[in-house]
Amino acid sequence: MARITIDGVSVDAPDRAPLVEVIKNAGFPISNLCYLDGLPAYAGCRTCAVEIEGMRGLPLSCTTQVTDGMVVRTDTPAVTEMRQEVLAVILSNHSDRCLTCHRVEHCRTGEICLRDNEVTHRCVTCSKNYRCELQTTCDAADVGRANVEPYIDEARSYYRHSQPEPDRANPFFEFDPQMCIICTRCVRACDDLRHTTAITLAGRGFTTRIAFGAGGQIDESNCDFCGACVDVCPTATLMEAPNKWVARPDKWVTTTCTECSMGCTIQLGVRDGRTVQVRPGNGNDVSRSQICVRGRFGYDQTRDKDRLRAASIGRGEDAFEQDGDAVASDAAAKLSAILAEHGPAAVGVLGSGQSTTEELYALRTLAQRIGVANLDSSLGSVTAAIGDALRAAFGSEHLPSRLTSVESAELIVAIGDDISASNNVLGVRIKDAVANNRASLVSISARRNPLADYAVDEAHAIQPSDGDLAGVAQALTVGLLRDMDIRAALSEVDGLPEVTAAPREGLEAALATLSRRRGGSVAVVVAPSRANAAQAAAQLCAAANLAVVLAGPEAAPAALHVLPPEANSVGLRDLGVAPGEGGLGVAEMLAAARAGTLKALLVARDNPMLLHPDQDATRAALEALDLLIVIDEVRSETVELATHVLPDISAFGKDGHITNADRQVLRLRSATTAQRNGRSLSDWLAALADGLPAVETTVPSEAEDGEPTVTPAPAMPQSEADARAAIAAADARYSALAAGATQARQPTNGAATQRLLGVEASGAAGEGLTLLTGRDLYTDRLSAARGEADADLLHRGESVQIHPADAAERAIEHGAGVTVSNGATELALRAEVTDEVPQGAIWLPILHNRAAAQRLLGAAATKVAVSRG
Amino acid sequence: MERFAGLLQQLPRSKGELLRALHLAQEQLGWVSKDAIRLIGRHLRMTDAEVYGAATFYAEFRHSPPPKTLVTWCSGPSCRVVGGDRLRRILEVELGCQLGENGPDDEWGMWLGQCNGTCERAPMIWVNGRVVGPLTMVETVKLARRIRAGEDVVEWPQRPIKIAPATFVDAEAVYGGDEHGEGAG
Repeated sequence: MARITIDGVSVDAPDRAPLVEVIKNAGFPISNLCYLDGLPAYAGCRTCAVEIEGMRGLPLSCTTQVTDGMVVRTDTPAVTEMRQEVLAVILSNHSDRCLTCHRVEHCRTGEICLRDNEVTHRCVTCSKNYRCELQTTCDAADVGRANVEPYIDEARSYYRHSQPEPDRANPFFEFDPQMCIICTRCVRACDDLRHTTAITLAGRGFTTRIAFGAGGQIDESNCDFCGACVDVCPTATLMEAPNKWVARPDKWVTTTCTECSMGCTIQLGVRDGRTVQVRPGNGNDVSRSQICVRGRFGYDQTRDKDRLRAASIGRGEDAFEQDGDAVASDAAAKLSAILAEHGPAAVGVLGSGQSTTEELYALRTLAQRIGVANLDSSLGSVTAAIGDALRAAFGSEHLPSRLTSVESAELIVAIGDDISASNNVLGVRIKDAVANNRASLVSISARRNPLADYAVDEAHAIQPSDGDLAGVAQALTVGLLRDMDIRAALSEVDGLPEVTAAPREGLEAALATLSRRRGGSVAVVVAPSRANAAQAAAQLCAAANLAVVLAGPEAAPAALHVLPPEANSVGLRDLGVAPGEGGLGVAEMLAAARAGTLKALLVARDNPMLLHPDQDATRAALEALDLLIVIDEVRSETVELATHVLPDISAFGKDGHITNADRQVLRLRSATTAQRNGRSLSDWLAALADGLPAVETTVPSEAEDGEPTVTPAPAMPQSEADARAAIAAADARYSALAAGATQARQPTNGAATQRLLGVEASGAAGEGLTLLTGRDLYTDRLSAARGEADADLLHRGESVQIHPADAAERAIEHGAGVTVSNGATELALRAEVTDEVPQGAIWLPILHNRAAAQRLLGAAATKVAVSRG
Repeated sequence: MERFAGLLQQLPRSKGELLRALHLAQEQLGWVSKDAIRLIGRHLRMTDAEVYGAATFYAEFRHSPPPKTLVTWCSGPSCRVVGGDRLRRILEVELGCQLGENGPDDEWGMWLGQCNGTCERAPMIWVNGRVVGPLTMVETVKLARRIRAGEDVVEWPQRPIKIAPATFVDAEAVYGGDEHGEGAG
């Protein structure tokens, strides 16, 4: 620690810390327009100059490191004058409408401008007015008193040049280069914080400018619209397009994003009860200052007018809107009648990994109360497969691994179709490890993804064309175990799926890297298939095996990182929202419904039409039901088939918790108001429960089976302190569980090979092209559920991707119409010819066109025929 | 383009090869197109932005297709001392395109050139790579109009070079333009 003096005040700071951060953190005003906390100083703006005793001139505080006994002054006349001169140079080519208005002294934030309408040169014509760092800096430095640009006269240099046109072509960002001061914060954020590198400095000298991609529009570049550049932009150059003009929030609410299982902490800017802006929040130590396009802009794609705004009774044409309580009591009465007539075996309940833990607890309690054992979720078979595989491998689902260790790992194996799309921020952390830590990355993904560029080399980005990621991982495991040539391992080992779909050289190169770097700090990251439970199980088993071989049996549980499909999938498993004794899983429930033995289904925020494979069979099952009660936020296809609909509110309006992939219990805070007639899922369940008969059941307690399956659903925390205590308690429980799990699976030496699991071949077999599918980054979940044509605002994931060779064989041209068929069902789509997919496979985002891909998918991996027209 | 893609594959896949790859693109295609940037980025495992940033840093990489008749204006000091800037202004007016731009339908265009030491012919320009000069203002106007008319100007009559005694020139005329002639002169 060093003790320094800033403006006469003594401050303690870590030795060699950047002085500008110390000054800022100590609460002294210091201007810095180019510095980014935590990144190396750029020293471009030169506004952070200070006076330091014993040093010549005015050193920049961003490039100065703290040493003990330093005496710093931030507000001497010399410093102020320098700052004013520097700002004058910056402003000489920047719009000055917010600074030079003669009324600026009299105005307050957000006041109505009293100047004539004809005056276009007003502060209110800049969307960043009163939120702008440059404006604040100029005010603080009192540039106006210095008689420099832009204050000298009307002939300002800014007006002597014509200004470039803004880029407003995409729905998320607006890029207005005339506001740019070339601080390069966005360039460095995109490069050093995100590793996307979509932004560059183009040209040189006075004409240097910021450019995206190959110099075109933002949406033509590889920008993934995470918004890190918008967060750091000190001016109005890069702005969020949605709510650009109204985003002056009344309050900021810290909550948790539910778009994927990362559970990034976000801050919602709320104005008049609705979200107008989203910023990353501190809280989740994996995501930290980063979120993705779904977290930042997803809020705007579903507004209150798009949500369900009335409860209704009846199907299709016969549906009519009714008071919510009436619908609930009618639903409860009908459900009671079915329970009385057919017994609880004729009733099923579906929950969702999008619900809070509290809601799931209420749902499970309701199911137990009426004695229903048919409890599951649409992705239940996938989450169950994950859980079973983990139990088989390590004896517990509770792994002690922490996702924070990924960015410091030396060797990373990423298994999953595009982790950057399904769990975007973890993709950033994997790139962090490669870029900052020289980690070796092996990427196993059927479709080429942004991680491929970060793999050791091209060969280390393995793309099996039959989609059998597990087979590749298992082949690597066996190769490592036998410590021999992979060719021999492939042919000699029993039970090993034959890996023919991945290039040999890739396997050999990856094997060489893995055997060289094993034993160090290893991270095996797996994002199991969300469409196919068998594949998910195989992937998990193979990943666990690989972790055991690479990290050693003792360290393996801490080296395996599982990314379940939904925000609260872990909480759903922990709470036991799974078939009870003798109960049916989701696939069996739907089959029973088709067979007529299941009469009633309660669907709580779940959506089997979107999430369960074989959509046509799902539709038939739901149509066959006598009673289908759906509680959901938007008019999904499942809602359209329902007999009773109850409108749920948005996740942004709820209090509760979720458990993310990292087993962190994260808080959701209510920020927005409910839409008309909307009530939270818990309220609807309570209303239903009022009308239902209670059955005596024994609630499974933790003592019974030793492995606790129940997270205590805490009473709704009434205060911040309550919430913190609840989270701390939950955290402590998970730590204890994880510690116990580690101890339980201390293996003996040499037992590693015996503990390895068999992996079934899970690639697609037969004729045709393998249908690859998964979550893409841009399609909004709720918009897709309600069948919005613009669910993917960028239209990047609306076509079926096909390899040039396959396309040429079938005479398919880029952009032409194609028919994709699995023999029974045909889909008409548009083709995108690209080498991002391997030869022999096609890619179709799962949520496109109300999850049309689900109509082609069966229980096993699918081959499809693709033809022109 | 296919030839370029083929040659590109022969370069080692390392970021250090970027300038060679860009030269290759300019050599084979006449300019650094967006498709070329994409191919180079893919081959060298760089993003489009990284390639584009480097390509725009060097003034001689072109970002629009080469015109049928390429007029290259010399920005060397010798040419400018004897009135090269006036040549440029005449060409800009007569050809109707700024320095670094192409005229309509890419029929002609004017680009920035660097001194190649043929200063005895200053003030000069290159027409499709051939030195034309020394040019008077009147000759420049005639030349530009013939280019506009689509005539072949490769056989432009070269005047014999006179070694003129040193003259002082108006500093404003010489240094009045922007650095390297960027922006409106």
